[in-house]
Amino acid sequence: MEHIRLPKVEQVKLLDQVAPRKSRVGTLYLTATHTIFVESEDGQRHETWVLHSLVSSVEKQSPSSSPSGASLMVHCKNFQLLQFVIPEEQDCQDILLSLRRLSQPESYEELYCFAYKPNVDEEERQREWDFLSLTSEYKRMGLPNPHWKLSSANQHYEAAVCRSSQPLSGFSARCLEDEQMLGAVLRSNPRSEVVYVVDTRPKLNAIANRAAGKGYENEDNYSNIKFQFMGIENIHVMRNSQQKMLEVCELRSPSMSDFLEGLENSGWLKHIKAVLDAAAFISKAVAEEGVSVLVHCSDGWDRTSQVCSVASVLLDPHYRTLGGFMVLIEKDWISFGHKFSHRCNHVDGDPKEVSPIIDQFLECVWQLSEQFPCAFEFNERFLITIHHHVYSCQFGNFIGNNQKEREQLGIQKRTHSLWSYLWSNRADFINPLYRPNHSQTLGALRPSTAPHCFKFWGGLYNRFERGVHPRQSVEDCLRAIREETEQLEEQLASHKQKISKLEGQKWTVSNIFDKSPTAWIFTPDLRLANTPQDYTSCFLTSGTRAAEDSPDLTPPDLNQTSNDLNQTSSFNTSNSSDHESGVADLSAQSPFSEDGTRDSDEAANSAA
Amino acid sequence: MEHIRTPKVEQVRLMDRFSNKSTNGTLYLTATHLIFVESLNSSSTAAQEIWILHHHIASAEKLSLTTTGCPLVLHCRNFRLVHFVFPRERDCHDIYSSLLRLLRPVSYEELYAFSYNPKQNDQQREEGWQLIDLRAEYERMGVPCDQWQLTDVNRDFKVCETYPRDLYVPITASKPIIVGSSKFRSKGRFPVLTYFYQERKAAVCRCSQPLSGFSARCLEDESMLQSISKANHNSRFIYVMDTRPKLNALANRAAGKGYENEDNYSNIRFQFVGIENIHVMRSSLQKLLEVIGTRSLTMSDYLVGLEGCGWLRHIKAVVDAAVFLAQAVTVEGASVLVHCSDGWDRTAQVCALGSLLMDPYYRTVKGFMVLIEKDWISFGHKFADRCDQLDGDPKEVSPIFTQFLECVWQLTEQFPQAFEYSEWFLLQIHEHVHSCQYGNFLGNNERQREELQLKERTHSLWAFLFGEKQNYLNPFYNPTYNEEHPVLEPSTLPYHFKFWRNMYHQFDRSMHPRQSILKTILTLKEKHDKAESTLQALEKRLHQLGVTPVVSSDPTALPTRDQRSNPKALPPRPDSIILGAPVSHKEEQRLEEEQEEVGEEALESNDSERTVEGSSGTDSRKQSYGELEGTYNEMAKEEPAVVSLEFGVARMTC
Repeated sequence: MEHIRLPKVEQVKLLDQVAPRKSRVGTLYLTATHTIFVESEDGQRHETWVLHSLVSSVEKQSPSSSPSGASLMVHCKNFQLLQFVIPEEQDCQDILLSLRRLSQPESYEELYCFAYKPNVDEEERQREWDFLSLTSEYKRMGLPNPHWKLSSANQHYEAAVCRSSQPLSGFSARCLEDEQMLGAVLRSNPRSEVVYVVDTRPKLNAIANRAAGKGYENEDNYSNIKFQFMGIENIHVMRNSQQKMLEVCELRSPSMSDFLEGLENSGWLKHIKAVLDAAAFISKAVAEEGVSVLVHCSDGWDRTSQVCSVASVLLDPHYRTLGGFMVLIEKDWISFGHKFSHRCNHVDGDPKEVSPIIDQFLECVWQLSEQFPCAFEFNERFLITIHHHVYSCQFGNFIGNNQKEREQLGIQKRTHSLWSYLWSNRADFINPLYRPNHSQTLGALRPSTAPHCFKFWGGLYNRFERGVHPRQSVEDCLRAIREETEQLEEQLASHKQKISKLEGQKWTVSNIFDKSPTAWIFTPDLRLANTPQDYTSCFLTSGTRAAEDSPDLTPPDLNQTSNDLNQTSSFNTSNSSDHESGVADLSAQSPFSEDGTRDSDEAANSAA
Repeated sequence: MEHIRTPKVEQVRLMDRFSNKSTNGTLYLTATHLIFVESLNSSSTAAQEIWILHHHIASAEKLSLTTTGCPLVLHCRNFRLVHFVFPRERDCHDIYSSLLRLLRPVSYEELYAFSYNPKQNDQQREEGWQLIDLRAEYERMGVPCDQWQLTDVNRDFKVCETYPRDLYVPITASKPIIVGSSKFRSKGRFPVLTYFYQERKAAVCRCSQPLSGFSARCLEDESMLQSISKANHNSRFIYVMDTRPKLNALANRAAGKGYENEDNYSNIRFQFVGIENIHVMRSSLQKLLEVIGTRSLTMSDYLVGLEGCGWLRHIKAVVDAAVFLAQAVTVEGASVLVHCSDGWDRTAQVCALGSLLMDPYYRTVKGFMVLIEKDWISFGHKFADRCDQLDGDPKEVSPIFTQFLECVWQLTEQFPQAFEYSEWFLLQIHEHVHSCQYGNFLGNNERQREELQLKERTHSLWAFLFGEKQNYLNPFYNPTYNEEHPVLEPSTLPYHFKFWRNMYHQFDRSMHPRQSILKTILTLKEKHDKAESTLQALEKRLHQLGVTPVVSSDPTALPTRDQRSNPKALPPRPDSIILGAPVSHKEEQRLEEEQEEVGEEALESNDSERTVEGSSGTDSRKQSYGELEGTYNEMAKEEPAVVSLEFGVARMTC
């Protein structure tokens, strides 16, 4: 509170980035957690809320640039860009200083998650955190098993993906224990004679690290390893690249050349492709060659996390489900110590530590979901929501840099968990096109990484673009059809019920129906119904009977039946059953539990 | 036949363009097609066949001899690139020289359309030509009316030989004014009506550039524009859109042509749009194809190449112009006169695309045919020259119509619910613009087509496409969307323009992602339709039993049924999109299997596969694609509709 110099400014203008003429006038409020812009033109109250923790920078532009007052640019970590024009320069200055302070908390204690109190009791809150448990995840993967004690692996392939940081090899140092460790990894996979060691860095970077006593594995010292560089750039390159790309997004009316040149020049898609290429390499090694892979970069918490987790998404269909994806982030990112607080600049820190590593991971998954629209249970909105909350600091999950720090902060005792929030709102995040039983969905994904397969992710980077035509979502259209179908089904069921009652009365009178193909109608299990065409024609032929009695069926009765029926009839094309079960159940079942399925899939793969 | 030296070569290898894979087979050369039949080997049960229509081959190139044989590369107009390797140089040369002759027909009589015979009787053929009726189309728009009339001034192609016979002009434009104006316009193409926006009484007119030079005037032309202006009471001025870059228009003045001087014409607002000319477009496409044809392209090369070729910039320019046109007409209610130099390239693009934005009818299958018939065919877009149908001037060739199709595709990506037709409809039209299999696109203008007696001697593409309409329907189409948004307002921010992979990489299987959303959508729809029809049957039954069905607690639960009982209510969704049509269950089953199969591995097809260019494109394309990427949330990609038909030249003529 003490940081707020000015809680309220009136007559503030919010400029529209695309159509500056459509600017809106309203009142700006500063609260402890949010900046709120309220406009009340034509009696319609419209509010824009911006969380302070999402603000990445605030700039003031000299008053001369806009005659109606001083202009304040607010850049957000979720790529929202707001430009306010404040009539009095002093007010603008006050807002600027307050916002700067509010958006750069000096300690964890100031973060929103410690103040965020949704209306749930303590027990419920605790249950949120129990929602995801990593031990059950390793159990799902079939670990520990005779070959593996505790590390990341995939039971089916028998080959494993392991992660580490760079060796301290310098120019010639060796470490026998380390060599034995890799030997152990090798032996754990009886089907292969080699282990791939993937250094995700460009070779030049790795060589430079040797001078500092670090470096990479010497193939001569380690027996049976195949060493491979991947050429993913470091956090500084990525930070600059995203910065450049965002500048392109913010251009007022870019020409086609501005856009394409800017996009190329930023290198962003090149980096995304590099991560996906590396992941595809690992996935291929594990799935097709049956070779275990050790992945590292420098410290093993940035590029390694990216590559391992994208490879997991490629390899294991479970990670393409809602629950599985949460587990994946929990495992490869949170528990293995991706430095979220540093990379996302949660508290005022070293700007050189900030880097959009997690953004890139989410984008890789999005690019994959564009290539395999039926392979993912979740939709784009899910990825965007996760991205939003990685930066919002509203939930405790991403606070701190590693497990130890989180325990010290008492995250699980004092904050709420994003995962249970996402799970309880999962209806919003379901991809209506998901087909869990599609042959491609079952196996490993083999994406194309040709340049034209990578697209600019307008949904994330330009999602706050206003003034553009209303976006129509095909997904919503499909969902609407689906819901409509479900409603039809409900009614259908009640009608059937009614008919069966009516016909039941007639049953005693006439025996004609007994032989008719519509006899199924009397069975309680409506799923045994034939195709509609079949019984439509039946009704048409046998439908000459005149209406006689009409016993009244009261609406509550109807609803009762339809509800019951709705539960029994599974009309969902994809995964409604998953909704009911929950993650714990999901993680217990291996996607490859059926050998038959797997074999056919493998055959399909090998046919390639 | 006399041009064919070697009808058959064995042991020919077909190289994959982007990988090191190859297939062995036999090559056949017929009078109309080049056919590659894959050799049977133990592992595959059926052979793949590729049929390439001679008219589709843009160029044949013999590369220098290698250790493996003698390579022959064919570039096709539908962006297929085939690379054969012959074991013997002699055979390669024979095929090459035969092709050189075969793919350069010198007279219209040699074109495929005159020999193509799909086993139809004359009556069916004639009915095919009657499918599209432009007079009915003008009536649909509301002309003739109190301000616009049909003129017979061009009844005998006397005033303008590249215009159609039927032309619509303002009521106040007398014959002398028309004739005078036509003498002041390039190629005599005076201002005529092409689209009438009834709601605001605003007109879209088209013409060629005025012969104004540096100072020439023409009073008739001025009064022609005046009468266009007067025909619209809603606006005191008309826009004159010169779709060329200003520099080009200025340069034209030196040749006695140019643009309208605002001082001489009262109440006009003059506007340059800046679409480049046919030569720029030709080389832009050439560069684009070079970039995307590169093997192991890096991200930088791709983006730099995409920018450098300028193709998307040109596409954006056309869409920008169309948006301007649609806004002027629908928002300002002003009439617009569109021209470029001759008024048959850029003008056709902008008028057609602008109309498509304004009028939902053109977003239906039939409407799109009408639109092409009107703005492209009847107004004399020079298809023969632009598509190189006869051996002609290479400088006249240009992908103007391809650009138009791409602009429409870009719009379908932004408005997935607004179009009745899918991408496959556009691709199929593109295929046949170049195939010369149907008479519609032959020749350069209506007069020429009449001389060739195309309606008597060839078949109409529209009838063929209409007959298999099911294949081209967009499963996302929602007529309600069009009622709510009759005028589309696309964003032309650069990132909305995407590379059209299915056009330019249509035949490069390895370039396509393999997962299809079609089946999922169809299953969804099938279930919906089943539920709906079952419900109807049950309700009928209930009715017979004397119970009035009670609509469940939610009154909106059954929009479709309600709508049926009330024919005036607008359908919330199309009654049947694909599966509403009578497709037998067995057929669906088969198709599902087929889908599944291609889905598994696009490269391995076990079915006897025929890729016949210029005939059953949908069929063959569907098979050769495998599963396509679908971008459901950003924009939808559609696949050919479900029914795979057994038609096509291959089966009909062999």
